[in-house]
Amino acid sequence: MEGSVTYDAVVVGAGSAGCIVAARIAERGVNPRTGDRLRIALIEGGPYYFKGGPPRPGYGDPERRRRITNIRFLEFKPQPWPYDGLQNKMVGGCGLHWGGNAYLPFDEDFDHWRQVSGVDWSPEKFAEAKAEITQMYHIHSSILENMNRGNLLFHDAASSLGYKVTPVPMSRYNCINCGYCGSGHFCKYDAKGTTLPYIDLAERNGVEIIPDAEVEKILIEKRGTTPVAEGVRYVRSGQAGELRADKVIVTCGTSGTPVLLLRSGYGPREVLGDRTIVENPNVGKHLDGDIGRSVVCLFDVDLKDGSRGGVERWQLSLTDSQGRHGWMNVQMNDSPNCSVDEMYPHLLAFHPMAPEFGWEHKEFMRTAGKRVGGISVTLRAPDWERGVVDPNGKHLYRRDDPAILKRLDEGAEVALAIIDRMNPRPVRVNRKFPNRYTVSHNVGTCRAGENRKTSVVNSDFECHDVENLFLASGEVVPSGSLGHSHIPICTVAAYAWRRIVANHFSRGTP
Amino acid sequence: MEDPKGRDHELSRRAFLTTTGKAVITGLAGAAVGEAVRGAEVTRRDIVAALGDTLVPSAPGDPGYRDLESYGITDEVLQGLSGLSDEMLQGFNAAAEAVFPGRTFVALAGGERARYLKAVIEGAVFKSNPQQAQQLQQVYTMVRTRVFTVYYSNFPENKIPADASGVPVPTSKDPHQIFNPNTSRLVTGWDVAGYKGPVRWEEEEALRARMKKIHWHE
Repeated sequence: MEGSVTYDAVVVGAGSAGCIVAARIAERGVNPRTGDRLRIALIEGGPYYFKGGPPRPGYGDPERRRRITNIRFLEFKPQPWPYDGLQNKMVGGCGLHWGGNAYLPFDEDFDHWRQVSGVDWSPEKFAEAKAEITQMYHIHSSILENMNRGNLLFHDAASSLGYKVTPVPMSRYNCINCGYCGSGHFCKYDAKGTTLPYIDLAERNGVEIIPDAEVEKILIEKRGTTPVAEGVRYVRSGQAGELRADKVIVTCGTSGTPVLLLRSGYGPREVLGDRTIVENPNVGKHLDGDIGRSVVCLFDVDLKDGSRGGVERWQLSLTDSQGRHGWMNVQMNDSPNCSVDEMYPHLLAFHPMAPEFGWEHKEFMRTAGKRVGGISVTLRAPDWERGVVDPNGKHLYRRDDPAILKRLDEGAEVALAIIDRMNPRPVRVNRKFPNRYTVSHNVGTCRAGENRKTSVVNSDFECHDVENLFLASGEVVPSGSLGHSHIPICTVAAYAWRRIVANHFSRGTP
Repeated sequence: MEDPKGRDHELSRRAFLTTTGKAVITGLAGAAVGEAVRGAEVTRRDIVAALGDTLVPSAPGDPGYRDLESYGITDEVLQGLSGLSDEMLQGFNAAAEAVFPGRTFVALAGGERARYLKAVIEGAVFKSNPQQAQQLQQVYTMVRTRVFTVYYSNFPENKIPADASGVPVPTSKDPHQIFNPNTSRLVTGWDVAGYKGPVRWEEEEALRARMKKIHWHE
């Protein structure tokens, strides 16, 4: 592969978006001049664990299963470069660590995306992409038979207050609801949100998967005055190499993509200085995500019905009548401090309700594992000062915006009202809220938009400034959607391959 | 890093724990351990072990941190405390004198140690020296975080048999790749918390059978 071949496209980053884009372009695209099949490389900094036949969702792969068994995603392996998000590098991405809540983009998301960046995306244009992701990730409603006592307490109390309560959508294959995932263990059967079908598709369509190869930079060269992406430089087993390609499609995610672009000399001059090859002030900017806080409770009843708990749950939405500060999702869920699945003891030990130490703490550990619960409040699409990803991958954002705090307070008051209506009520509730918040499930750091003044790629994922360079993962999504960002990002990737095939890899396209 | 003198003392401390192990298992109170080390040079191991014993106490029939000393729990805790200097730990040990005149933390009985920790957390006793109060709280927080993390991560049954590259290796008797390191031979943090760990095969089969009866589509 090294130096001797020019690929039709190299996809950089084999997470969920990269696997979708590489597999589908290889399957559906052709060389526009000859009609021949495309030669696609999918290059990834992490390992490729599959051995033998195609890996199957819900069953995993023996090699992959062995390597990720009993490992929390935080402990998987040190990152080669600093990520502030919680991504792990491996072919297929780390969708397998999460609880499986799966929100396809809502109509409100499209409205907000068009509003903030001028992107031309719409529910109608995304219809096929949404259908594809619904099928490929097996998106279905939470299973009511699995709802445990904690969930039902939330459902009954919220309903009695007049809220419309709906089951959270999930993405799972053959999940046995073992409860051993919500706090961060990999699912050894790849049952949740898995990208395995796309890896299989990529393999069957001749995509050359190149694992353990850290891409250091995109090769950007000037043809006349026009910057053109011509390939990538990478390091594999300590050896430097280059891949040349007609198109370079970067899918390194919200943290990884801006870091890679900055390393390639593409970004704000104020950051790059003399290393600037192509200037665009938006690279690494506009970091968004969902903003949340939790109301934590301790009950004197077992919320898990004697089971290990699970990932099913109910939710409700709160819309801001003025529309300025986003809308909120409220659910009893599995965030580290409010669990309806079984909480790991080494996390439970630091629960806000836990006594400091000694016999009281030990008694709490003995009895509280199935009694702690809580309600999470997640705010999305607010009008706020967006964050930044710096050249080291660090996420920088304000954590005390008064307007955001006010809105979260409103959500927390709703959560408290629901808690007060529960029967039985919790024996303890934390009613003091921190005056800070966290932003997770990040997107938007090289967002798609109308023009280069406010974005990095256009609505068809083509870079405004560098020819033959495309971006197609979380970084292009203009603002955060609801819950885990995996499914919205996958949906955008499913739209991206369609636009890239239509514009560049169909017979007769330029 | 410990100096040779410290390592010598580590050995003597280990020997001490070995010789007193039976007494510990039969429920010797933390006070007795404290009295035993009084007068000897107090190492960072002594201080962390005493803190561990206070954070996760033991009693006859109710094992805690101290009961895992013979499995090296303090060694494991110390591995994650390289950022905590000897000076800070010794300062923490010596500052108990402000609450119990003439005595160090390791020389205190179990209940006294708990009172000292509460004084550190509240800070009132040390309000005339805010810097000291902050430093004591820092020591407490660092050790508490590490002790709880190690203890409640199922130490010493937190290791899964693995090959040279750290990849778990199933036993030949296990065709299902079930890796649950917890056993009934020893009371660990998981046992205290009633935490079962990853599902075992029989439970997995039962859960699978249950899920097969559920129609997943709306």
